[in-house]
Amino acid sequence: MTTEPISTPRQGWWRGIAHSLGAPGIALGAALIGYGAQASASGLDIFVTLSAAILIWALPPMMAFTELVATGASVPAVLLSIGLINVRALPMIVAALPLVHGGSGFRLWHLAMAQISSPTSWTQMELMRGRIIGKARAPYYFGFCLILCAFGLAGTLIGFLLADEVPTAIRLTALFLTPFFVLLMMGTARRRPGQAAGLCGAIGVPLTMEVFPEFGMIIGALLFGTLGFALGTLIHRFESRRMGQ
Amino acid sequence: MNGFDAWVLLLAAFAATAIWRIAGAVLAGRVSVDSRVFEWAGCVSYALVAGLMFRAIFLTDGPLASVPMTDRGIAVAAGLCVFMLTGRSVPKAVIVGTLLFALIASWRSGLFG
Repeated sequence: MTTEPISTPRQGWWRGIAHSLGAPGIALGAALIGYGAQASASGLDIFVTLSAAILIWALPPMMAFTELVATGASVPAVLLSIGLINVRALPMIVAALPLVHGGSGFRLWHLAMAQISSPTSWTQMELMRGRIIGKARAPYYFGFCLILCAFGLAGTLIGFLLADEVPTAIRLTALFLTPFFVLLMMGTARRRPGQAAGLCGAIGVPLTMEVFPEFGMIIGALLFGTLGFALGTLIHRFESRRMGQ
Repeated sequence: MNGFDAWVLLLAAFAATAIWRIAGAVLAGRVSVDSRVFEWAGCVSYALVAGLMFRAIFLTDGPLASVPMTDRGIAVAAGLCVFMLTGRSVPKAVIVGTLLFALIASWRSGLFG
């Protein structure tokens, strides 16, 4: 990855596409192979399966959706379950979108940005923070996300059509790839509060989810994110003081 | 369940996810990148995503649970070693960790006889 800043919209668009074509696209496509296979096993047709990937665009609620359809769930049950699972999108979007538009006020087209956001695109924007200038950020983001969507749909299709053909080892590897990739991407965080919050959350959030199965995810994120924020800020201040001495 | 019902449920699922995305987009419009609120929201998101990804690998109830914890741990540890030794190179770490996981999973599922 070049360190030269991306300065024009055209450059942003093409670099976004190029950066998505490697590990990020492959990891996301591989993860959605598992979703396609599960959708096929749950009896969904291919059009519902692909439409769900585009409209929901987050793996945990997509997996839950296939199970809910298979069990013949009611509309209120779907609203409640999927709504609770996807609360996680809220802090992620608040953290991701200002990296694209700089917090310049809400515009309707920001909804399109929110719809295609994912942990992969957020961590990529964090990684590229300070390396993309002004008006090149939105084209970069859209180029990056649209290629991710293409990989995601290709993975879904492969999983759906080859559900019974894919060897178990490959299916398991596909499930391992995305969380592993996103964890490593988070390891590239350059700011101390982000690093501390990632470490605290990796340990604390699963624990709170065990203790409070219904709301543990969001309680843990608020608790350990705030703890990481406080610890990281203290460490940063301490380091700044030492550098100043 | 017929095709029409599946589409109705899909619209409900879309509405349930869209509400958080809309709320996030509206809030994000009011947050400056240089503010403390943005830094804090980023930390909450880091904690949440790191926790969910850690859980997806090590504490899952899904198909990955069929792979022994030691196998998952070895693959993650190998990837992390490469990550640290290569100046935090994500592609190199992903390739090593994932290939190792695939090899172990293939060996366990009898692909190597």
